[in-house]
Amino acid sequence: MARPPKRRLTETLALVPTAPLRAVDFCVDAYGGRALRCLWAVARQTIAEAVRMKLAIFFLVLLVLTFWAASRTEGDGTVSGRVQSFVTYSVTSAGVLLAVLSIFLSRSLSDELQQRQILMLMSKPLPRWQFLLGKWAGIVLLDAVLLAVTGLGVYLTATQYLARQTPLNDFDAGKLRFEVLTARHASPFVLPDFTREVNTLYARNLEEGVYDAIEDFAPLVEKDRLRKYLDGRWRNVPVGEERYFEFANVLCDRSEDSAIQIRYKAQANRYPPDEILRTQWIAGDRQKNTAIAATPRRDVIGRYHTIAFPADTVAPDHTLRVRFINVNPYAGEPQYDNRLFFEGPRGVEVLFQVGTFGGNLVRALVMVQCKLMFLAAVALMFATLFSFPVACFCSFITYLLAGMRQFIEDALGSLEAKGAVGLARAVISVMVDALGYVVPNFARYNPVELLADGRNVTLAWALQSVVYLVAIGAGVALLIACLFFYRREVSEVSV
Amino acid sequence: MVEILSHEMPEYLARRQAARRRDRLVQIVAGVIAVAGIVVAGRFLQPLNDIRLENQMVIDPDTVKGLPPIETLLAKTGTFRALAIDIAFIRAEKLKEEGKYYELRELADAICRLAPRFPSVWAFNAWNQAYNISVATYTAEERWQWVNNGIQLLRDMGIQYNPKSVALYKELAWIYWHKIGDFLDDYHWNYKAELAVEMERVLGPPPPAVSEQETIEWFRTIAQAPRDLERLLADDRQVADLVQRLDQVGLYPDETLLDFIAQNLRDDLSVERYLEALPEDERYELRARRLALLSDTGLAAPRERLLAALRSWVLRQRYHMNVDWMLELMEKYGPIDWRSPYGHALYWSSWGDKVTQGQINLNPNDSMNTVRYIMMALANMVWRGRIILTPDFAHPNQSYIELLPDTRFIRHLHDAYIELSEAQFGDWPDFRPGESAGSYRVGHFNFLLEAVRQLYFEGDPNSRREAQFYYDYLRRVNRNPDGTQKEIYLVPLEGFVLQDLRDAVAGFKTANMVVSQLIYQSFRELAEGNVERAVQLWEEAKKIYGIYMTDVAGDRLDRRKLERLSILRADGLESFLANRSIPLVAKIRVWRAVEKRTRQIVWDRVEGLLHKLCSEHDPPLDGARAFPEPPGMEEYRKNPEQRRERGPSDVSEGTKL
Repeated sequence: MARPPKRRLTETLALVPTAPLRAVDFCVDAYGGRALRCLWAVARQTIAEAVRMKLAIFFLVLLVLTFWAASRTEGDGTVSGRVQSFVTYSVTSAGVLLAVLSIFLSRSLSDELQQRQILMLMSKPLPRWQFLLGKWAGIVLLDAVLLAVTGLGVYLTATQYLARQTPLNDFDAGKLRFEVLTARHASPFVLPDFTREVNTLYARNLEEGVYDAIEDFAPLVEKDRLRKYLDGRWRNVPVGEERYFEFANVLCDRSEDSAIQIRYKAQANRYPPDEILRTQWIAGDRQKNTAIAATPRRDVIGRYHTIAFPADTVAPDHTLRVRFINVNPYAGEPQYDNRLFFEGPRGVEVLFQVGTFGGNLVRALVMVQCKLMFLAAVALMFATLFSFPVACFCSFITYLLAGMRQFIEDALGSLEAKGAVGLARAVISVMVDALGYVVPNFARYNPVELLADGRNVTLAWALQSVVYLVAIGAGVALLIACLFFYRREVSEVSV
Repeated sequence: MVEILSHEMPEYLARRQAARRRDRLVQIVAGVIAVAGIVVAGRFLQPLNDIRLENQMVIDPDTVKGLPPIETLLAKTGTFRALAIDIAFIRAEKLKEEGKYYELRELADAICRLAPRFPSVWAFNAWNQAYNISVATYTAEERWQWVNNGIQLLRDMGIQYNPKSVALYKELAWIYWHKIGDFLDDYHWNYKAELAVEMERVLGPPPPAVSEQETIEWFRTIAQAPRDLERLLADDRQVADLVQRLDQVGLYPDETLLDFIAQNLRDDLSVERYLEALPEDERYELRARRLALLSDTGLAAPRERLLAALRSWVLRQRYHMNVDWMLELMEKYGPIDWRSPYGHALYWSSWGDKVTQGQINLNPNDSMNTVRYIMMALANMVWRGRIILTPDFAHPNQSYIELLPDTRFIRHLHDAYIELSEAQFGDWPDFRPGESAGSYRVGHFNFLLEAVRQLYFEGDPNSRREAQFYYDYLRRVNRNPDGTQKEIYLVPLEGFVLQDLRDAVAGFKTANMVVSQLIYQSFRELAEGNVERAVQLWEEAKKIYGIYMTDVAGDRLDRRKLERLSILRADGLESFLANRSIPLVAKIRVWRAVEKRTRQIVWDRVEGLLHKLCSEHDPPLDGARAFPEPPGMEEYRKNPEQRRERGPSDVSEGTKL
């Protein structure tokens, strides 16, 4: 009996990349129903086609090249800056490249329709929705694999290569550890309850007849106005005064060697000659027996600044009290008459570590993958309707609109509301609003800046993107695609 | 049959044919008109191009460096370029507001590359980095990086692509003069130290105790060195041999060689910390071989030729400076120390003024301000142009740096005032030759008032003569509007100098100048044997120092504080010993008369110089006997006099109370 021919090493190695596919084959065959088997067969075929056409390999090479370029960026010259730049550019460029890949992969459907290959498939007992869903699954699976490879590369390059470069100084080393390669939760301060003051003020005004002359007087609206007035007044800190910012649920590690950060942005009514604010911050609560830490500050006006405090300034009940004093603590330097104010909920916030960079990266990549899944569904939807060039064009437009929606909205907000510009603004606003019902705002699901800034990409946010972009966005797009596809005459002559 | 042949073409076909003929005719006529139009337009093209060239409305390819391929490609992106610039600008501003600076350098770079021929973009981004972003960072190293980024953006790219834009030269000169050279930034001492160490890496420590002319001659060797290193190696056999031998000890003809020399071939630095990268035995052995090779007197000539060529190459290639113009400036304005920010401010303002001469579309304000920096830079060289630097090559911003007055530049600044006044206001009806005019006049007189005081306190006969000359000039030129003598000049020179001394020391600049000059003058009196007068001057220095330091006692940042008095005294002694115009015997007399502590402070810095002076003396003197080492040096080295720390550690984190 002749022995089977010996398999060569190269042939064995060639099997390695297909091993995961074979594993899925085995699982689907063993445990999947008929629908799943059909779906997987189409998905597998789509992946195999992408590999065969060298499209996946081409994009993999592009990914590696952009990855290399991102790792060469200098940032602001600090190691922490380099890591931040690298993470920003590598994850963003991976998202863009894979989006382009998703759109290109949808061409297989257009091609099959145009070249009649689909007729063979349609003669088989394969429902059209399974065919479409299989195509989509193939595209998103390929995206997922490439994104996972990118994620691993980002993680290893950031933590094992860039982070091991010699830091510029201790400050740089600390920033890298506590503000970049971490996942920090940001919590705004708890606004004081102004209900009593509002009621007192309202009662006094009522008594003095302030509201008598006002037609259509609405007490609730007036109380809201008073609350906003008191809120604004509280956020204003004149020279020589101080404010206590209270934070709740500061669920951090309170050990001595841990740190929390206070991030703030102060505006001033009048700029000092050198545009520097001189103030003092004190963290801790004596009544709760926490450590007390103080720091004098020189800060540029109107920018966000971050200061670190020991974590044991947080009370055991996870509250934190921070005192801000608008008095120049630096002897020999003049005290300027600056009324300072902290605007909005992010005016002052506490940052504390809640996770790791790795976990953060995974959640961020999940959000990127959600966008790709939406885009793949949209690309297939257009492919069921149009020939490849038109479908491709429509998909790119959708991607651009989704990516730039926030920019367009912001730009419109900065335009004048009167005259010809105002008219143009109104018209475009209506169009953008209408667009909002069709195209999602990708900027709302952009985790890259938070990831680079060491801020926590929350699981809830990631799940939100799963629901909105995948379950609703991609779901609707696929549903429409199925409707179109079912109504389409596939044997129709198309040119 | 006849019927068929004679059958007329149906009417509709005849019409169609006619229509086709008509269309063809229209097409031919239109084509001819189009061709004629193109030919006629083509004939206008050359004259139009000539007019545009003549009016400097286009970039002259002969004078402008071509853009690299990537910039050229980006510049061809059409409308998308404007959109990309907008998006990058918006993102940069947003990141800046949020205090995220890590991406700003790349964004600024991208914006500039997208609009490489638009000078305002370069000027804005350089200023933004050097001023806005630098002050928002917290450590000296980060701050210097941003200031340096701004400089590099202009010097290495912006000016290279827009060499005829005077605004860019003005902006660059301003960063050197104001951001680094002035005293307003909390970290200005760190910037000064960084720049000084950076330039010392290239040019090495300046030649000690040489005259003005010798310093210029020292730089002339660099300016006149061969520009092509490969040609030098090919033509000069001795240099080629030296390079080969250097190669054997791991030194190569590039910046690393200059760096090694700057760090190792000096008397006052310990070099051990720079050798940590190699195993102990190997590194000491290698260092010894390198030093032996570089100190070999037999190889001195080729070594100097090689170093001069290398320095010239680095100045031209890395710093984009024209060494011929640097030399010309030194010949015109004096022995400029290129470690000083004022030297660079002078260079870029004067170079900008030179290369933009003849430009039509110059902003007159930019042009005039650029010229003003020439005088502002020279003025700063007078007040603080002499640099005392103890470099720390590992942490340049922690190097000790002191800026002392340098009266050698007074003459040059005085001449510059007169010369530039003539150039800019020479056609004014009330212009008088030999005098400053217009907006320069008041500045010129104020400068001379200070200069007279400074020269007077130097005390040597030449300086006193020079002080008298400028005082006489002021009396003659700076008169009341009715032509009568001003009251302040009615007293003799000495009375004029001393009358408002106390009022004058309110600022750091003047206080530093006066105290340093009084100390210096006391050494001169000591050299003459006038011990009583020397003590008087020293007491006066202490008194003024006390007055000034009491006024600035609250300055936590030490921005305006003078150096410790003992250090100032030691620096004064070092300056005195290094002054070539003072006889060696006078120096020996002072060395013996000065207290032990001051001698201990300066000994390690001046030992080599003093022995050199003794050996050069005719007849040669025994250095050890003329300038004996101060007793207790071993003990002193364990606990040396500490200089005041410059630049605060401003990384303010919460400190537990």
